[in-house]
Amino acid sequence: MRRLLSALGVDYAQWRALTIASLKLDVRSGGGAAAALSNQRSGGGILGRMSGFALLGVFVAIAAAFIGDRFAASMVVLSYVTIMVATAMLVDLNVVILSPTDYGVLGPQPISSRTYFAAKLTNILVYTLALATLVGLPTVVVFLVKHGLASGLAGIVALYACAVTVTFAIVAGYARLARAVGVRRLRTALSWVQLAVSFVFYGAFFFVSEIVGRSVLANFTLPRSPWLLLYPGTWFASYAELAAGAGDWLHVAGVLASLALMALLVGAMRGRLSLEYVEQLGMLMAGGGDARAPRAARYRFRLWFRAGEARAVAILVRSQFRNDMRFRMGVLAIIPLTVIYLLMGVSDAREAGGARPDLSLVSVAILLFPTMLRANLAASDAFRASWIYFATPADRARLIRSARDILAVFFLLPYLALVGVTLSFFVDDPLWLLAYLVTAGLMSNLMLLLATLLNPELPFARPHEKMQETSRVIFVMIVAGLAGILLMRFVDRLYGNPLALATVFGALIAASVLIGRLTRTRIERQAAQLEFLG
Amino acid sequence: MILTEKLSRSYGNKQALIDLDLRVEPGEILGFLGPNGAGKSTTVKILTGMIRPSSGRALVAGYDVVEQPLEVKRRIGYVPETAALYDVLTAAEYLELVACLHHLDAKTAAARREELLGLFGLGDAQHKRMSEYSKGMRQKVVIAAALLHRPEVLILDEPFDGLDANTAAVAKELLKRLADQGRTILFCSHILEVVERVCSRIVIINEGRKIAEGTAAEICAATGAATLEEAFSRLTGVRDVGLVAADVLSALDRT
Repeated sequence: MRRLLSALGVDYAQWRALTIASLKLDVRSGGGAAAALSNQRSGGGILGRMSGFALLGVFVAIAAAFIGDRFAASMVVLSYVTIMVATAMLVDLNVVILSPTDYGVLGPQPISSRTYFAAKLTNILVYTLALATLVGLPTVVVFLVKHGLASGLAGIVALYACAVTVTFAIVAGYARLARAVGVRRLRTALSWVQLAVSFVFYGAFFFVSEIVGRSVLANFTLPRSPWLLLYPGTWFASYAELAAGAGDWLHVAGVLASLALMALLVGAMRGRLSLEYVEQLGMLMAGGGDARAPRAARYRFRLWFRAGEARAVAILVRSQFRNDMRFRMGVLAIIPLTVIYLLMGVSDAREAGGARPDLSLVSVAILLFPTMLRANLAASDAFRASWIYFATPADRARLIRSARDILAVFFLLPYLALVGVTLSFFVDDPLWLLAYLVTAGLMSNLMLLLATLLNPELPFARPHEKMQETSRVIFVMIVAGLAGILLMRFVDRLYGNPLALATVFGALIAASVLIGRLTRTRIERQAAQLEFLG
Repeated sequence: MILTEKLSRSYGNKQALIDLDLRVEPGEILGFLGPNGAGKSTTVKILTGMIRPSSGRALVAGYDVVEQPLEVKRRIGYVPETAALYDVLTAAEYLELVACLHHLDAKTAAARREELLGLFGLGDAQHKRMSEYSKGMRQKVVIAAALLHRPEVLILDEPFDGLDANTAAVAKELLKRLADQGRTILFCSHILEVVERVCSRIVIINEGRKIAEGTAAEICAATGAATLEEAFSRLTGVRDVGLVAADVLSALDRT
């Protein structure tokens, strides 16, 4: 290892010290206000999150076990691994590589640009490879049992090659972007790239889900078409085929393409990118940002929120979105997911030809959007500024409730309006659509209330924790997925019976009021115990 | 020694530093003063190799900060304005990390760590996470980290911030003795009494330009001021401090 790193121009002793320190920092860094309250070490939190990913890995392995075609099974599993790693990179680790935060501590130390870059990259790889192991390794075991030793071993190689490639590709993309657009415009550019990349990755996810969902797993096979090579997932899936001695020209071409891509990325990592890394960080740190002066926002907020705490949170959310790259990127990463769900709902609606479409996916988006936004609202790199909640006579319970209300007013309602307007072009029965939107809105609000009840958090008051957002996204997606399917069954069954529909509306409103009250009592009790984490 | 020639730095259209010429000899403690936003931090960041100058040249311990930043960083000890630390590490772990980055062998690193933390009164607390430390304790860790590798040049930005009176007195004496050993020290502070007492020479900058240089007595004589504080106010263009305070009070009464 020492020789390899030295050959790459990396100082082994420094790299080792930095890697150990960064792992200590990650394991020990705060687990949020709730963890602080319960004196819980965040190591337990990491274990919990890892268990969640391992469970997902078992589900993926079960699906792979039922797919008869080894190549198809490899492609599906590696696509899931790609999505998981990409989601982690986009949602959690997006600015690790470009963040100048620890440059303030390490900048004056005699560390070369390449060593610093290598340490950061190692830190990210630890997480992405752990994630790939948890999600992909159960399938490798299935491959070992079902397809033999060679396929299993090839599966391991493909799994890690795929995870490393995705990690390197995203890191290289971000770093090249920093050089291409310059540091002054980097924050804005990154947000848009985040949006575009999220569309690509989530789009791929649904592409795979659709294929799997519409096929009978046991009979699911992939056609041997050269067009398959356009999808990089097939490149890594080819490893198992070749190892099993069942490969043809397509698989050889796939493996060669994957090796070429990896060589290209490793070359990029060794080149100017790593040499100029520290310089980029220095410029980022010195750049001071391009914060724009808020316009008449506070007056607009006054119309909606009269309480001082609510107005304060509204101003904070707005300015954080404009100036905090990490928060903005976190929010923008959610939009593609919800838009793709909406587009798939539109596609179903068009297929239904004006009749009542199956809007399960749109329901998932409506239920998902505010709850995922709420998760983004709690963590911030500027969490130390939250001392102001504790040093002023602000009502902390009201601050927490205000954050939830702002999400409902500024995000959920406009999103429902967007969904309503979009679907009104494809659905003939406007009353049905209205009933659907009201039910979905009430259920989404209920989910938001429940999330607040279970974990009341002050806005931007805890530090980011690696992989926390990823595990939340996955968890909320699963819950919202189930709730979305239930919701559609509800609306379809009850629509013909106005009394039953009114009863459901009433029940949802009553439940919201009840949970709202419960939340209020709990938050007031919890908020009194919340402590400044800075 | 520290040497800068026509050192400039701009952020977009804003010129933070303009043609700064600076010379700090070995054994000298130079007080580097200026009002907020004058360009002190920019100068310090350039000298520590954290950012590049837009033009001009800076040499630290004989090495160019742009051409040979690693050589510079090996020879400097830096105390930043805010005690930037990894909160979840213990002081012992943090100093171990810094020692590794300076390639100190484990035995030397441990001995120096024990010695420095002990001298700063952190011997018992060295295995506690720094998130539990007070501001003064954090500052002591930063100073210890800056001295760990026995640097030739010390760049100190408000080093006494948060230190109790006793520790600050020890630190002042320590600085003088380090200078006596031939180390070069750049000392930035807003506490003019301390600067006057500790520094052998003073440079004042304002709006990115050097506006005064000399001993405290020379600067006072040149401005016709009785104290360094008065000289500083006159040089940096602040009108009568009593008038400013009266204006603030009347503004508070109005609103």
